[in-house]
Amino acid sequence: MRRVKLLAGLAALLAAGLIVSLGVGAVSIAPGQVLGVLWARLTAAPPPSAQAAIIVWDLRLPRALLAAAIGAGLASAGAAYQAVFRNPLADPFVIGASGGAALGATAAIVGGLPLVMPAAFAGAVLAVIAVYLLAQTGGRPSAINLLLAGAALSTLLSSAVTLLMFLSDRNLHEVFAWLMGGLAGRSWSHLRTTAPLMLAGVVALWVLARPLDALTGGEESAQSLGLNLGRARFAIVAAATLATAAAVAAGGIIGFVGLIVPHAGRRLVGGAHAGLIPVSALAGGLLVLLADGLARTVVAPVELPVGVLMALIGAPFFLWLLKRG
Amino acid sequence: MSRSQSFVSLFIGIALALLVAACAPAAAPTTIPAAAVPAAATAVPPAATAVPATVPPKPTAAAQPTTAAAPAAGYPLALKDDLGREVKLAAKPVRIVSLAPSITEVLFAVGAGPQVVGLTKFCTYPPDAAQGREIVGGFTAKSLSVEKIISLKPDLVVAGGATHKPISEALEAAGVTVFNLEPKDFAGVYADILAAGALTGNQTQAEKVVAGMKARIEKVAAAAAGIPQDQRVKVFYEVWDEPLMTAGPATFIGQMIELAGGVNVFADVKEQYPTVSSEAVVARQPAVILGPSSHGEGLTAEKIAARPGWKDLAALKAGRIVIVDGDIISRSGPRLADALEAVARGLYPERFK
Repeated sequence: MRRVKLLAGLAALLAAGLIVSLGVGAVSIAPGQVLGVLWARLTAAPPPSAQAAIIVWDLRLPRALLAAAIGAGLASAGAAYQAVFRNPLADPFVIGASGGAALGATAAIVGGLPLVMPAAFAGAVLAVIAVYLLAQTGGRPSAINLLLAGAALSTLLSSAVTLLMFLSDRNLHEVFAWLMGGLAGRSWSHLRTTAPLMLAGVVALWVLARPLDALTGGEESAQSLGLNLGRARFAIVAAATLATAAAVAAGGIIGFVGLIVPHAGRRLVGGAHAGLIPVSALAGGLLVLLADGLARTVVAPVELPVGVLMALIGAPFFLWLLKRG
Repeated sequence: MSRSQSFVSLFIGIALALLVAACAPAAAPTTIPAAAVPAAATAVPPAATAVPATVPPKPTAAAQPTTAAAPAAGYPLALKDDLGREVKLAAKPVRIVSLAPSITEVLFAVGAGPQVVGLTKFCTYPPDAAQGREIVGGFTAKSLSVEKIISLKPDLVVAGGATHKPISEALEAAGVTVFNLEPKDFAGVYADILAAGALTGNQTQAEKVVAGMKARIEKVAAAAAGIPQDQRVKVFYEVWDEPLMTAGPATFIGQMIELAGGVNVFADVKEQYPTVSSEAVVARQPAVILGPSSHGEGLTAEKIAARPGWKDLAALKAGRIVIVDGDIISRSGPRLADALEAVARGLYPERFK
């Protein structure tokens, strides 16, 4: 019952956060007018003000929804990896997804291809597949091998990104902007292509809550519970990778949310994943939504990279949580 | 193969390896200018909008005596550069190395071209500037070769101030005289052209160049001053699209928009080239979108209309997307007069023909 109340409360906060973030930015729009525009668009009535309609509906709404989806995807993936690796330091990028995405995106930008998003997505997926294959030493990969292979490949990939940037400093600012994470200029078409993948990943992880619980207890106890360890781990990594790769393709590398939100979530609902996954998803969505709102507001009309802002808010909050014990 | 033959081939191999190693530093710097200031990335051919340059400018009736008198000729001389350091020259420099395209343009305009022995790979103006001269690297400090510069035995290196600090320090440690040109505004450009004239023994020509520039710039400014406030166009200058970057009021392009009677929609930012919100552009409703030719491919009506919320912008409906030659607009040299005229024509095609 407590869990249901908590989920409902978080969902309400997310909805309120959405309305607030639709009103703030370089131009501020009153909440009443925001609701007016939303209502007009949903009922196909003429909007109260054409410019407010463009700003709220075409510019901010897809971006806000994308921010929420990215936060949900990264936080759930983080929770899953922390369970699979039984490591509190694990995050969505622990087995190479960010390095692969960064290399894909950088190659596309430097090469002048208009395919930055698909390249980032493909890079993330390929890097995880490579780690999975490399970690396989006879039969299924062990958790520790996955972590080690992930760390080694991440280093390799990030060196490749640095090398590419060094060799061609044309469009460097574009690569930097991507690496710092940002949602500037995201539209409905970006939302349509990436959000379904992120949500599919989140839902799949929620469905996998029981194997996740079993893995948290250790590989042996999971096996003693009759779990097909290899298959369960593969399904979890696949779902988490789907969410992570789509999130990185949509918003660049936004760190931290996947690390801290699951820890905060555990304090709220405990370690059982049937509760932890949806709580992480809602809280992660709320966090990125607020961070993006701030990124658009604090020094408007100048826009900050959301990834940087996220760490600036997230780290002190996390330290405060730790201190409280 | 006999023993002596193998020794010979070994010797040749080592000699070749040494030769390759010796040549490597000169071949290494092949990068493109820093991205931090994309407007300065000048490896772009002049666009159709480019003004036929007139250097040296025609002496006009308005060639009034320049107020900022050039320092007296005659060597030895001492002159303050744009970093506030006093630089001493014992004799007229005859082996000058220029570290930036704008500096090359200034040197050639004042008539010091024959004294220049080295320049950068982006020094594309005057068109034959690189002919018979050595290339010392690209734009950023890391792409310039100190060794290459020193090997030219320069008696004066003209650098671009803060950007080239690591290079200037290394050169000065090696006993090379370095003078910095880093103007912030039009008055600074005039002063720098005069300083370049004084340094290289070309005062008279430098004064002529400045007088000609001033006359053209003041003509535009005077005409623009007569534009009533309610007829002034709002301008968005787009440096780049991903991320969306513009130019603040302190940059040369910001100053030119203002001088030409335009209103920069981001006149309120402090940064030089900030990343701005797309929604701020939509809310500020520019009547003209201006951009450098280096970003010409990204600035087509079709691509701009595809951005969320932009297709209803006044600038787009009226088809007022103006591309200006990225070289003349970003190089703080004598051709800024051409750039200002191009901007003025772009903003008010009726008034400036």
